[in-house]
Amino acid sequence: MENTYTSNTTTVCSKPILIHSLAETRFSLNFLSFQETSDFTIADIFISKHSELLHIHIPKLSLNFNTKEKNLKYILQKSLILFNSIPYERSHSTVKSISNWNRTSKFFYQLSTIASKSSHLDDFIHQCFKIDFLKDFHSFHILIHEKGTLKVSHLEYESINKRHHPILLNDFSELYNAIKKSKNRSFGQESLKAAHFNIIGTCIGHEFSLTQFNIIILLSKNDFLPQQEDDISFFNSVIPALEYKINLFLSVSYHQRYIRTVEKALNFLPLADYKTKQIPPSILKQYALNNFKSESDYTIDIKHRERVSLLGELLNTLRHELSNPLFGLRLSTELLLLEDFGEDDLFLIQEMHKAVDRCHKILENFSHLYNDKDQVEPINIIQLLNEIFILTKSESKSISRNIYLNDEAIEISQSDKQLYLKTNKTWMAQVFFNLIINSAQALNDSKVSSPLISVSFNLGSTRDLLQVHFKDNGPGLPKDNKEKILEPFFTTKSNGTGLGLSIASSLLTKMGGSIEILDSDNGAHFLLSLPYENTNH
Amino acid sequence: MEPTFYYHYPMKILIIEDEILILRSLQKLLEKKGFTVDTTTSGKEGILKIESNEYDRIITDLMLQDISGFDILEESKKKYSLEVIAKLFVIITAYSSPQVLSKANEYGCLVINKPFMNIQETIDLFTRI
Repeated sequence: MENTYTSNTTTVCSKPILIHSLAETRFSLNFLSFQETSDFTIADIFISKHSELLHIHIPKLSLNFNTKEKNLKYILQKSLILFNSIPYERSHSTVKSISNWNRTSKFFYQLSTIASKSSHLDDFIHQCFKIDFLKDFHSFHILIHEKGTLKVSHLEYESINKRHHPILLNDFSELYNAIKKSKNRSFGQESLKAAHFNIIGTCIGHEFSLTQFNIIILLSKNDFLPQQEDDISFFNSVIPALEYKINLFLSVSYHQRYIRTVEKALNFLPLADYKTKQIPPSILKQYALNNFKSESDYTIDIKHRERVSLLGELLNTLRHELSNPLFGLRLSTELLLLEDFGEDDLFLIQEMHKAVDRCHKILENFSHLYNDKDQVEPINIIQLLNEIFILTKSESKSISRNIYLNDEAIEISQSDKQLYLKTNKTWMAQVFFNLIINSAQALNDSKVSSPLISVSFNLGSTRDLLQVHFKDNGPGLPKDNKEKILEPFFTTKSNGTGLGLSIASSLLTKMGGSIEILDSDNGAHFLLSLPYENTNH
Repeated sequence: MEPTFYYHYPMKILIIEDEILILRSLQKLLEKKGFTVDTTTSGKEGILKIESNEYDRIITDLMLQDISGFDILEESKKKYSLEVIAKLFVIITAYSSPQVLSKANEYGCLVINKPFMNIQETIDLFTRI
């Protein structure tokens, strides 16, 4: 029975998805909504070309579907599914291996670089042979099965060659399951029927499933030596990034194919009342924030987690290892204080005693800061800033500090000055830490005569926003590169990593806040905005 | 009723602790108060000392270089009853995880965390009869 008169509305995607376009991708498509009623179809299509985003609103496709429109509908849906399959949220917390930190971060960095330079999968894989870990391998196999079809591709890459082997779906499935079941992902030739797949010797394998595809990756050194434990664990720790990139390239190539068809279809359609309009940058920015995790966010997030877990681990060990000898020092100085000494000696011993207590305090603070919990609690933000100044003492000791609370100058040691903010202590600490280190290094390098960092906390009249003006009187930020300052790997320092400010910025975004760079004639000026909620403390 | 053991006067105390500064400081502080103090940094040597001497109190760290403080307690079961062990031993530890604490509590003896907040008070606890 036909429901001709019942309106059957399906919103395929209520939230817009903005697709990250790679350097070489000319288009990306984004659907705001796609509604189908019994008699017409509404589509909102966003097409971005270069950095511009166009919005095409099609209020009414037609009263009757003709073949072309059905085609379009199919294309739109198919594309949508593909876009949805891109796992931006994946693998955030997958990098846990501490010992391989440098190696891992280098790998990610190199992978990002080559991915941004490659226009398609083949290009990308060939470039992969330049990456430190992957260049030890002789061949790189990717087996792709498009779900729901009999199509299986087996691509074999060597440093410059690419071969395509015919392969049956049954063989693919068998291999897929074999890899899925294996624990260490390392295979000998016979266990995989490797010769069948043109593999010589042992190899490392990995399988994963995307919305549209099942993928197998095999890496072989073309020798018969067993894979080293190190290599396997490294491979397992970096594989999510590789998965992500491969998925991106596969989706993009399919996506491009569909876009070409969409373009063609659009040209043929008699769409009298479709409008093309420019989207204001503010909305665009909002989309970007809400719906789209860019590649740099992804890198920053991993970097930040790596740092926090690395530091957390390190500090825990340090605290355990140092607290005993420190306690010994404290006990023995206390014992010495009971003896009769001259004034000078007594002074020295008292100072030793204080120094030991300070060490204790620093260790305690550090280990509280770097816990890996994502919890929100009320913290005294002024005290936190004070703690961070203590922690950064090696960099910031020669620098004077001015702290203001609602325009009133305060001594940082004043314990009655309190401002409680509900936030994530670890993140907030990291933000202050990075800003102080950033300013302190700039101030020390430029040898300013009376270096100063000033931090002022201001609660606006509405008391729902905390604004923190963070200023120094150093050489200031490069004016022509203002927008790049917060980007990862941008640095003006000879030995900077370019991560400090971008991590601060990404953490503030996570806390629902923001960081702005204000123009200043004298040094750097950052404005942090944080949501504030009155807490009864 | 036969008493389990008699206290010496002054009390004879053994300290087993591998952090030499802590060991020497505790020794000095206790000696200042008039106690007789014997020390070792090695757990194994501690066991030998316990076997061949009669102490009124044994203060032991849990994390020693060679063996753990729990090993010393276990070895002492050959010589002393559980009730005596509970009175005789004081455990000092910097790693007070819940597991460690509950295991220590099984022996029923006093457990003190390092670092001690108030040293004089702790010394009094060490020597309480």
